[in-house]
Amino acid sequence: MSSPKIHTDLLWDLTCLFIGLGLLYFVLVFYFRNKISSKVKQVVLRKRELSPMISEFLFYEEDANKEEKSNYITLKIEIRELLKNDFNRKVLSEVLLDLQKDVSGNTETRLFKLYQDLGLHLDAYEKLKNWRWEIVSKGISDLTTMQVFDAYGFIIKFINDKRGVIRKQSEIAAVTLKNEGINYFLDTTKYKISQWQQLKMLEVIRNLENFEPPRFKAWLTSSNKDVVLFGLRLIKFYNQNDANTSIIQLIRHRNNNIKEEAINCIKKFCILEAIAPLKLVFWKCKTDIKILILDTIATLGDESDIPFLRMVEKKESNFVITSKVLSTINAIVPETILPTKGLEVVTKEDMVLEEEDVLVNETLDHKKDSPETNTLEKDNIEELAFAQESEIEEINLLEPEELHEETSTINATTEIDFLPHIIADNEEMVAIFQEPEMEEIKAPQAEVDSEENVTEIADEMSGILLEPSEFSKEIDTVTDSVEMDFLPHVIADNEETVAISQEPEMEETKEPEVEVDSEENVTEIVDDMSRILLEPDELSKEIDTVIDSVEMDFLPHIIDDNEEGFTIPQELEMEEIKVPEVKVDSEESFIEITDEINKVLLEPEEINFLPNVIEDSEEECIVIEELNIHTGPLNKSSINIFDNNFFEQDNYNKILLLDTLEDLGSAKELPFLKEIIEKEENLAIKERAMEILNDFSETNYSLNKESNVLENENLNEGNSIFKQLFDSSDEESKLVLLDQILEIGDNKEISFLKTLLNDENKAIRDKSKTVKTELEKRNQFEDMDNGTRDGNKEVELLFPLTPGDEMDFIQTIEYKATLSEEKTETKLIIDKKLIPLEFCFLLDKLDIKLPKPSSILDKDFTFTQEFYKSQEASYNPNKKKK
Amino acid sequence: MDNGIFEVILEYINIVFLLFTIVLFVLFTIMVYLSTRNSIHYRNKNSFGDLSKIMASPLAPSITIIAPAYNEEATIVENIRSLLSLQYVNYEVMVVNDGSKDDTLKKMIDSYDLEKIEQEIDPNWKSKPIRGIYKSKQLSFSKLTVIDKENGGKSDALNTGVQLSDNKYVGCIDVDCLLMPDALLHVVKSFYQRTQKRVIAVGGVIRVANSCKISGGMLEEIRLPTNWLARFQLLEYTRSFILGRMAWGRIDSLLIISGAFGFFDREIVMAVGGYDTNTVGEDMEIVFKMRKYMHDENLPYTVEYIPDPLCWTEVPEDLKILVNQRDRWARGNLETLQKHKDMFFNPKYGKLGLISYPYWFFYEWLAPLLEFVGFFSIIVFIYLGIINWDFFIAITTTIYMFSVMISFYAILWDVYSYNQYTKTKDLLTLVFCAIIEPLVFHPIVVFSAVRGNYKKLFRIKSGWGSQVRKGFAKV
Repeated sequence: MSSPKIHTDLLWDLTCLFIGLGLLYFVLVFYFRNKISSKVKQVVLRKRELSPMISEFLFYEEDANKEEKSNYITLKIEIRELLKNDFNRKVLSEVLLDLQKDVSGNTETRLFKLYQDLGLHLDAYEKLKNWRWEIVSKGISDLTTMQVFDAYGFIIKFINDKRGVIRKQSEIAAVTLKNEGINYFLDTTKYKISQWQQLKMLEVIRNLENFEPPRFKAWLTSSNKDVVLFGLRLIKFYNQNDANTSIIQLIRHRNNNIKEEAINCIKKFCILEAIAPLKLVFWKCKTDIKILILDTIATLGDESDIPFLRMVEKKESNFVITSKVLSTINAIVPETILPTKGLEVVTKEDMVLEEEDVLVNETLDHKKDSPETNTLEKDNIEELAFAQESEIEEINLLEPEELHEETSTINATTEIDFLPHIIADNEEMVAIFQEPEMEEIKAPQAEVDSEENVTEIADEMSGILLEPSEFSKEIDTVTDSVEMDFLPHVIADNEETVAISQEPEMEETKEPEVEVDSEENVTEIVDDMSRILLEPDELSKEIDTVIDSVEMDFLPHIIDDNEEGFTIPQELEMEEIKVPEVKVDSEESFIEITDEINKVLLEPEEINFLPNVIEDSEEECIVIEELNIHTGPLNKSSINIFDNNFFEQDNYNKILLLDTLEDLGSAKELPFLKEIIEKEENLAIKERAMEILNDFSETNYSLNKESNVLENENLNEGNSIFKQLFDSSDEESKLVLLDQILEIGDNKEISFLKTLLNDENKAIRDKSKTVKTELEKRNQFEDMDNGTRDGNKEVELLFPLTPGDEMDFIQTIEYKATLSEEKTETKLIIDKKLIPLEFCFLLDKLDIKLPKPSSILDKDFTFTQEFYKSQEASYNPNKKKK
Repeated sequence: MDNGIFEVILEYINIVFLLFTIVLFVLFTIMVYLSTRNSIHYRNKNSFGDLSKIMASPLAPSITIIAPAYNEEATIVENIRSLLSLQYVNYEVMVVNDGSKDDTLKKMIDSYDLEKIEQEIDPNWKSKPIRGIYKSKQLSFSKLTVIDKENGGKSDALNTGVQLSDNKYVGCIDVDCLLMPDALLHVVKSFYQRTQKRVIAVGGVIRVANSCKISGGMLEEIRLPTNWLARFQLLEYTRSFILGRMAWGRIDSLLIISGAFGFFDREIVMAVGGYDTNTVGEDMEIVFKMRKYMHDENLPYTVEYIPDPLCWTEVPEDLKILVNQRDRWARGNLETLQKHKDMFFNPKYGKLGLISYPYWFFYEWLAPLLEFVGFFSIIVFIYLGIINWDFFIAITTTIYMFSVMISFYAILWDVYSYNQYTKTKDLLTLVFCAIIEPLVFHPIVVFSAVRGNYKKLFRIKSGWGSQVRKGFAKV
């Protein structure tokens, strides 16, 4: 038995080979390092040589004098000589291609012209004939970058080249070199278009000048999926909404990208007809598309889509989708889905306490005027609040009939010291806020799930709110015996949330609320609400039964505006009363409310009974209601409540309105009053308006003055833009920031720097000190500089100077004085900041360095008086104007 | 008779070693060839075109960069600043504080003016509980999201980030990594440039940042590390990334994307259930899993690899930390191979099952063990006086010279492609490292791998270990 012999010689041979290769690589490492370095050096040198020539060409003016023209021609000859060398041609081509990234406008056009004048484009043409794909691609890329429009015909031949990189470059070229190139490309391309390529082409197209996009719908029928996809993206980008039907068709496309893009278009163009097809395709889509569809439904959908969404919610197991469904439902009908997590569970046992709680509440009401009992009352009321909350939560669990009975019991035995806030959206939540009489009372919260119960409550509430005239009559009948310590606000919002904060005096009072959470019943509830809102007679009857022993010391506010949020200042008789809110979102209700408001506005005597109705049908609106408003600067977005109606009134009503305005208004009415003064013909009304205007102006002035003082203080002290950055930086960054402050800071930074003088860190402390001193010094110079230019010889020193500083300062003053006195003989060294920015970039690019001024008094060459004047004018635009 | 059989057995052992070595040579030679071709192709393809123009395109996809942070208070603020300054519009930086015991969270809150926000979380998602989600009050930091969660390890933190992200692509990086400003542009290009296949993941080169001059989160000057361990690792990384992964990328069989710089198609990550929290080699495991998923679903896909130096990181300079790190890698390797053993020589998975997996099995997992066994065998053979000295010296010299040659080639290719270490002294140092590495550094790596495997096989509990970061700001 034997084993095959191993020839160790083979291994030694391999070893030798590896040693040889190793040595070769070792040598090559240094060879390539040196080659690359020397090439870079050579290129830099050659660039330095060629760059001044290029700048001469680029900035040569046709109207140059003879000498310049002669130089120009010599340069042309010189450069042509240089270009006979291939390396020079290559370097020059590189220089121009690099420069192209940094120039624009006229300079860029000249650069393109120069490229062709020097015949460098011919090299690029040569590259197109090469067999290597990378060289052909480079050629196409060069011609495209330098916008050799004649190359278009040569390049588009490659548009269906089998070599990917060449194909992609030619596609970009086609789109860049000719505005119609995109049409040609989309018509003829056979290959797939990568996302990256689409991204690049869109980037090219959007930067094309005078580009008239074709109607991209023409390519939605292409057999190339990527053309369709790109077409859709272009349609979306150029907002071409003339292809709705095709887009709707494309949501059924098998390709997910196309589907996604079609849905994006639907969302963007608000194609309502697409909702039904979207619902149809929904089930077969993958998660991302489903979310996109839901997002689109959220934007375009209406109540009729809710059943579909409910179905999706039930059928889908994916959390992301179910979560999205809920947000979609809420987007269509806000607050349909309410938070359910973390809520307390209420047992029936809590109900036992119900009557006791109510009695306690009654007792508290009677005792509320007694200061001695306040503390005790507070505790009791807190308990009561909890009990009431529990009670109402319990009500949620009851059957509607039971609930009704319960409510009746409560009403019969309880003095109702509240008027709930109703928030009614089209088909969703209705929230009723109760109004306790006393401050700091944590009020009970109730959720009502039952349709009938909500209807009952809504019946009672809506009636009160929607018929002010009848309502006021009702109130007349009850106010003798009833105290009404509440004030309902009605807020109507068809689509979005309206937030109201009001009564600063009552900040600590929490409002009780009744929320309707039954999803199935929402539609019916809102229908009921709407019906009720439209049937004031019934409502008033309801109120009659409800408010037997209620104190009704309320003053409702009504604000109506279809488009924007606004604020009404209003004086209330009882400032400490928390005003309940009612949100009404139903469209019909809103119309009713608006009508009512208009009616009331025409009847000033009823204005005291107006509820606050804030309606916003389209935009989110935040209304801050204050009982005693003493405004500062006017809020431009606020609209005067009286604007819409005032000029339509007769003179008597106008006077009445002005009286009301005087009572209730504030400085916010100033523009409106000015308008009255301008437009009104009746002298008496005009005078009355002026009187009010003066009153308001005085108030406004004093407030403005105060706020201005504060603002100025902020501007001077707290507004250093560096402060915020500084606070969030580490030590090293802080030091860098201090350098920045020195570079670009101004007076504003001084006070900030002062605060840093006490910093814990010594380095920061020292640096701040230095920077502060330097900054102060510089500011003095600048002030002096301005003073000199303005002809002001008296320069006030804002900050004390050190002896050394003083010398510098005196020198500067002397220099400036010389400048102003001997303008004709002034010599300056050219500074980068005086030359156009583009030229600066160019100089940097070409690595040309201007001589640095060694000192401020260096004088290299003389300027004419005209130059000096132009410089002076550019320093001081005001003077130039003069 | 007995002696004769024993000698024959010994001869066959030699033959096995020789075959193993020759296969290794062949494989490495093929890899060198493939990586060279791939590098040249990549360079030619990307030699023109300006990526920055695409930066703000309306079609640019959204990306979330997820950076898990555990006890990173020393460097976290600086690192986040670096991440926030990338050249891309449509991206989000999501830092997941994985229950840090130090002031990592506080530092972030203070420095970036964070406030807690409400966000609904899938109750079925298996991750450690989230304590809070924070966003900055300042517009300038609006790209930043901080997730504070209970400690669950890097995988768990990454999973949380993936779950909470709603962008198309997610990037999983180490928070202490320094990304080049145009890194995301390269990533997007890689994701978007294919037409035939779906790019499910993009990986990139990790470069060694030890001793580099870094200021304000930006790399200012590339320097060779001063620490010898770091130098060896630099050489190892160069060889691995420029030759190894480039070659695997060329044949679309890349099985690992570094945890320090990996970007994924979020949809696929979610489809495979995210990172495996039961392994310490999560970066390798997820690529296995995603590839397997695409194969099973019969979907055309690819994994892209970017050779440009886009991510810079600190490597351990302490021997103990290095050993722990390599120990962990070995365990991760074994766990992943074990978990996906059904792919081993399985033609269903194509190149993946027939080339990549076996390579990883034999040359990444088994080779260090064989080396270790070989080392002791030689000692025993010498002791017993049965060693074939001729063969032993010849094969050892051949392997050694091959290894040095491959390292030289890696240095050469690095100079040719990127020319980052231009000083003669630096290059000579690297060459010297290449010469002594098989004798000095490699045994450490082998020892760590054996230790890792030992721990895994004998179920000795071991976690991630820790690394003390110096922090770029202090470099």
